Amino acid sequence: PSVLVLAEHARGNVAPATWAALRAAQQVCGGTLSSNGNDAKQTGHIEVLVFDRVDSDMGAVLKQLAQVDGVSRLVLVCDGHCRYPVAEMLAPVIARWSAEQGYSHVFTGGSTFGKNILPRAAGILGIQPLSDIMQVCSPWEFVRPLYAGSILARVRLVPPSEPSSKTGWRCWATIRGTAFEAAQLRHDDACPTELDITDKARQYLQDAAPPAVEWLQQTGANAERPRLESAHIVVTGGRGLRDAEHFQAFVMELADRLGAAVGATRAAVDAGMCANELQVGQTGKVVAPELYIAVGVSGAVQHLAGMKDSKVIIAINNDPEAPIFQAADYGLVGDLFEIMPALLEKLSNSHKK
Amino acid sequence: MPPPCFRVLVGVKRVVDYAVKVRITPDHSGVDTANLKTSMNPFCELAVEAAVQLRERLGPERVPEIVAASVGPTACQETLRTALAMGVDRAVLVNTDAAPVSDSKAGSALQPEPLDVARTLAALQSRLQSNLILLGKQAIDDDSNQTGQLLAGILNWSQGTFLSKIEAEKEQDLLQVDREVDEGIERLRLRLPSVLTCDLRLNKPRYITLPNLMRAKTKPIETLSTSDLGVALRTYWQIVRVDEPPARRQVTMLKTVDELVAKLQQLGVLDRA
Repeated sequence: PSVLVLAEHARGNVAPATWAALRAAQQVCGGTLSSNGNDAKQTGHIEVLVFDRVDSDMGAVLKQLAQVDGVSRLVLVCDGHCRYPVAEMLAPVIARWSAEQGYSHVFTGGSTFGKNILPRAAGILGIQPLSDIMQVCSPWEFVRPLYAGSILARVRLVPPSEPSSKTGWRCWATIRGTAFEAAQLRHDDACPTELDITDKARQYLQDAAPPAVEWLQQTGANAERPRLESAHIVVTGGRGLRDAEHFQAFVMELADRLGAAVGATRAAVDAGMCANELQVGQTGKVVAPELYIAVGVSGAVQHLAGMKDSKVIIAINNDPEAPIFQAADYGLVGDLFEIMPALLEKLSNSHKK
Repeated sequence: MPPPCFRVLVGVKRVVDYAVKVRITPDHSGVDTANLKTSMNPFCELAVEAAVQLRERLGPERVPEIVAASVGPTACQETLRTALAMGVDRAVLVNTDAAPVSDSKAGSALQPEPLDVARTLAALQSRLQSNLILLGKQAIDDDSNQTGQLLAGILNWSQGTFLSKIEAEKEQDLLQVDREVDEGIERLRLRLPSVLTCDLRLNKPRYITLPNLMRAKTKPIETLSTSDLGVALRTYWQIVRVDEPPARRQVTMLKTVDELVAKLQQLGVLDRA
C-alpha cells in the first residue's frame, strides 16, 4: 500500500486526529515499520500532505511529521489560497495530487476539518470513502460504527468490476481519533524524510477556478482550558444542572480544579448552558480520556456514543435508574446541588493541606 | 435586474427512529430493521425547516419552489409526506426497490451508499435546475456525514457543512453561513449554487398540524427510478459481519462525597491539579 495522510494542524501543532490517522496508516502498511529500508516487514510507505495555514507554525509542524515512522515524504503546499481550511480550495488539490501519484489509501482525521474536506475530494474522483474507521483489520478491511456506535460493522472494499481498471483499489477514509494511539516515531535518523515543497500541487491551486467561497472569520476557540479531543480528564455536564449558572459553578469549576476539559450533552447545549463545541456524543465530539466525570448526565445512547471508550467513567446523578450508571465504573447517587458544592469544598480543603 | 431566485432541493432520508434500539441479525450478517418504527432523519428535518424558513423570510418571489427528494424504497413516500406537510411544494421519490444493479449489489437489500445518493441527487438537480441543495449533516443510521460533501464535489458547487446559521444576502446570489467546527464557529460567504448541510442548532423543526397533514395529501409525489436518472447502484463497501460492542462495565456505587474524593485521590487526578 501507499498511503497519503492529509495533515490537520493549528498553532504549530499536528492535530490529535492526524496522529491517529498516521497510526492507522502505519497499520495498513504492515504493523511495525522500521526506518531501515532493508526491513522485510516494510510493505508500504506513507506520505503526508500539508497545507500551509495562516495561524500555524509550519517549521514546527513539519518537524513533528518528519519524526513519524514510515513517512517517506512530506508534501507541503504553500500558497495564499490555501491558508484557510476551505474545502473548495483544498479538495481539488487533494483529488488531483492523489490521482496523479496513485496512492492506494488516502486517510485523514475524523474531525470537522477531515469530514468537511475528504468526502468532497472523493466526490470529485467518484470514490466512496469510509467515515470514522475504528480498527484496521487488513489494508482493505476495517471496523466502523453504525447507529451511534451501538453496532460495529466490519466492511471490506469491493474492487472496481472493470478488469482493466487503471485506477486500482482506492481506499479513502477518515479515522476516529479516540480509536487509535498516536503514530509511532522513528527510532533513528537512518532514513530521513524527504521534504517536497511542491510547486506542482501549488500549481493545481492556481489552476482552480476562483473559489465561490470567502472565509470570513472563526470565533470561539478557547485556549484557556485543555482541548476536549486531547484532554486526559473530561468533566461533562448534562440536563441535571438546570441552567448556565450551575453549569459554570459546578462543571467548569470542577474541570478547572482538575485541569480538565469541559464537555456537555446535547440537552445541556440545547438548554443554552454552554457552547455547542463542547458537545460530546453521536452528533458532537467523540472522546476517550483517562477519566470522564459525568455530572447530571442521564446517559442517552447518543451521548454514550461519544464517551463510552473512556478509561474510567464516574457518574454523579440523582436518578439511580439513569442509564449512565450502566456505562460507568463508579457512581454516586444524590442531589447535584448538594453533592457538587460539597465536592468542590473538599477539593479545595485537600489542596490547602 | 430582479434579485436571484433560490430554487431549492431538499434531500430527506428515512431512518429507524432515533428512540428505537436496533439489533443485529442472528448470523451477524447485518442489521435487522424489519418492522421497526421509522421516521425522517432528524438532521433532514432541520434541512426541510431551513428551506421553509428561507421562503418565509425572502418570500415566494425569491424562493419560488421547494422540492423534497428521497432515494430509497417505496416506504420513503411516508417521509416525503412529512416534508410536504412541513411546507415543501412537491416531492420526488427515486425508488430503489427495482433498481438495476451494476454488480455485487444484486440480491442484497442494502440501502444505497452515500456516493450513489449524491450521484442521484446530482442528476435530479440537473432535471430540476435547482441552485440550492439542503441536506442534513449526517444520517443517524450509518452516521457517515458524507452525502453533502460528495455532492458538492461532484457538482463543483460551493459547500457549507455543519451549519448553525444561514442568511441570504440582499439582492445577491450570496449566502452567509456559520459552521459548527471543532474549535467554535467558522463564518463563510458562499456564492450560489451551493450545497448546505444542517446541524442541530440551525433551527427547531415545526410540528405538523392536522390541516397541514391533510393538505400534504393533495401535493404531488413524482416517482422516478435510478435508471431514469442514469445512475446504477453499486456496492463499494461490503459488510463482512456486524457485532455489538463489548459488554458494559460493572459499576461500583460510592456512598458519600468523601468516598468520591478518595476515589479521585486513588486515581491520582488530584495531584495533577
